[in-house]
Amino acid sequence: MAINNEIPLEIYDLAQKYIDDCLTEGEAKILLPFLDRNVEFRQAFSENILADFILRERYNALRQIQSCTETRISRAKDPLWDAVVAETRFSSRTFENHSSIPLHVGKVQKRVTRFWPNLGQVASAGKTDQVQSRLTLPVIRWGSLALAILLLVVIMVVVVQRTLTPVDFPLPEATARIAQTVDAVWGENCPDFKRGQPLYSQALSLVSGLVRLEFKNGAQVVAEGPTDLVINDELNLFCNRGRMSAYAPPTAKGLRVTTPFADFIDYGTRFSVLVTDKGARLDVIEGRVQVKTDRNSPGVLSAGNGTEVNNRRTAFRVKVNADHYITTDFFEKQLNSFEQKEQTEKEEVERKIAQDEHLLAYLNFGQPSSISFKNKSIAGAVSIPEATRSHCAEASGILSGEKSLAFNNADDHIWLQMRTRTNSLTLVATIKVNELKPEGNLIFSNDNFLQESGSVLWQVLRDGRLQFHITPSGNGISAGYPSPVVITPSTMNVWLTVAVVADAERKEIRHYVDGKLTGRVPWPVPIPLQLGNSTIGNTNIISGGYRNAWFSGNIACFSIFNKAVSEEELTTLDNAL
Amino acid sequence: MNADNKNQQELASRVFLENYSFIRFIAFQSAPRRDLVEDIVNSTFIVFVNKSHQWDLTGNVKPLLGEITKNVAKNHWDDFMKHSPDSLRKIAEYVQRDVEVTGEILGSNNTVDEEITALGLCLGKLPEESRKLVEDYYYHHVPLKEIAKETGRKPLTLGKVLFRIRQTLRKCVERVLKGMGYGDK
Repeated sequence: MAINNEIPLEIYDLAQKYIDDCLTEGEAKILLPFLDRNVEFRQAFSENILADFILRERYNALRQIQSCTETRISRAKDPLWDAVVAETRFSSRTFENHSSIPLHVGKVQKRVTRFWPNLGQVASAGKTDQVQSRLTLPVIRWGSLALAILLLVVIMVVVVQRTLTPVDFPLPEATARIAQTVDAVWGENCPDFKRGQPLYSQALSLVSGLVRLEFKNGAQVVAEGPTDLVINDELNLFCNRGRMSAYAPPTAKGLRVTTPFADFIDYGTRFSVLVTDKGARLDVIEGRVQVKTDRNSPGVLSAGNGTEVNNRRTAFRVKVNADHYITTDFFEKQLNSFEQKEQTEKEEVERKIAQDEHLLAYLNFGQPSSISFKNKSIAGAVSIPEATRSHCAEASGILSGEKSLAFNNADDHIWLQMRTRTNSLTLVATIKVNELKPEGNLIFSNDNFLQESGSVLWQVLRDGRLQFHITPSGNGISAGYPSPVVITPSTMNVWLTVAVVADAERKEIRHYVDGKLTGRVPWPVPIPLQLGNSTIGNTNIISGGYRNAWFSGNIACFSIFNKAVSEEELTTLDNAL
Repeated sequence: MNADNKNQQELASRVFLENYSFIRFIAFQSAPRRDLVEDIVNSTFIVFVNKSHQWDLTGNVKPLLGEITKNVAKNHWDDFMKHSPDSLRKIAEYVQRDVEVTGEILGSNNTVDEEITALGLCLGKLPEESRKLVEDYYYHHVPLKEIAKETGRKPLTLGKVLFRIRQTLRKCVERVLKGMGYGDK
């Protein structure tokens, strides 16, 4: 094109500066004549601007996709994500012709170089060029035939395994985390956020209570319900209504809170925002905050100053009201009071549970030095369960001051000596999974699993589903009854109360998470379930490849009932645990 | 704020986030400057959610979101033009006109996913070296100066190379979109 011969190299540099929004007025005066005189260059310049934008959008999405699964709620239906995910999904079909895209398998990062040839991804009909297939066959020589065949077999095994087995992405780095909640009640359309839960681009509707969010850039936000927040990214929040206080360290400089009436941009400070349907109020406790609104914008406000913006987006300066800022002391006080109330409720529920005649065992690891273990003499039971702890370090529990047991290696387990038989069975566990292992994470297993008819096993599978197994006839084969996916990036390292109910009367296996039914699987031919000596968090099974399937995470509570516990009872149990 | 309004606003927030990329795309098409896109998106969100009680959010809300975004973008663009020095304003006018013409040629029905798909195809057609440059610059955020040092080229030369690559990509994307049925065949 003619432009290349006429346009000096420096002009391309200025064009780049315009694209990067950093072209100065003086530089613009140099660039403009070239755009005036040369229509082709001007057209190319505009094409560059469009191409730059779409390239940035694509690669930003790609970067996020590479470290994330598609379970991000807010982006689940975003077509840009769909388009980029479709490109990056590892399959044996067409594969994008990139030099390399990092894929993560477990904890090991591998650079998967372009392996499968482009199988002729052709643009739609029209005058477009065909993408040439680059399929090339190795040159076969008689002397290398065996090697080539071996290589082919290895490749096919790897590809089949990869297409059938979900590729592990590492846990995505969350934009923020729910650090603490105090009596939080969430909106109807909101998930039930838990302490520790990671947040990405998310809408949060807090009906009542308090929540403290910690962002990955160090910012902290405390919101008091009723408040509606949308986390766009670590520097951009929408506050549609409610009260929030923010602390933004230097690493979070530029934190922007958008409200319906004004935008508040932080320069490293503490401030509070109150939004009602009549307007917004900003109180700057420390540092400085810039105010952007339509009329009478006060610009940058320093500590001790505030502003009120009405529904016509007109701002008025006000003196700061420090009471609007939710301090750490206030939050901690509310938290202590809330946790004391929870503890009392929990003890009450535990007392009720202990009276349940169908309770076989109740293990509370809150005080691990002496496992609180309630066992019952059940009519028909051969022996009363006893529990022995092996290794299992102490770890923090659900509430502050509580404990749990950490299961991190093949030596960590709780061994139950028991012997009983039941038609229906309920297992309940409060767990926190910190890794999904290829071998699975065993929550509970009979020592005679696979060898005795009616023996059971309960585990978290590699893909995040829970699965309950029953051995029908003791010949080394078991039937598995899976749940939907439970452990996802959002629920990893978050306390969950999971339960499985084997209901002989209804002929089904039901799975619950936090008291809510998540799945049912038919159990066409119920058989009596044998609960012999068992292991929590590990196994003594010597066959079936379970040796490395020890539980990876923490367990706070474990209960066994010899009945199908109802959903109502499970909800009560979950509320307590 | 009654319960219905609150639910509607929550739903509106979710719908907005689901169409986030589309809104960004429209924002940039209407006001082709990267530094304006965030402000436009934020303002669009406010307008959309605040008036959510007026919308039927159960159907296809893209046209509605597109219109709101365009209106908001126009205000931001006018504001930017008003406060920009003469030379920058003229450059911006050129760009806006050309982007508008492109939109007219391709029609207003193409969406961000089609552009992304087309871009993916076109990236696949680039020579290895060009593709690597694009990846280093856009995915790994390596500055041009550093790429120039690694490749033994001058930064200004590399700037021109990148300019040409983007131009090629854009032309390819437009060809592919036309092939997909957008605009004149």
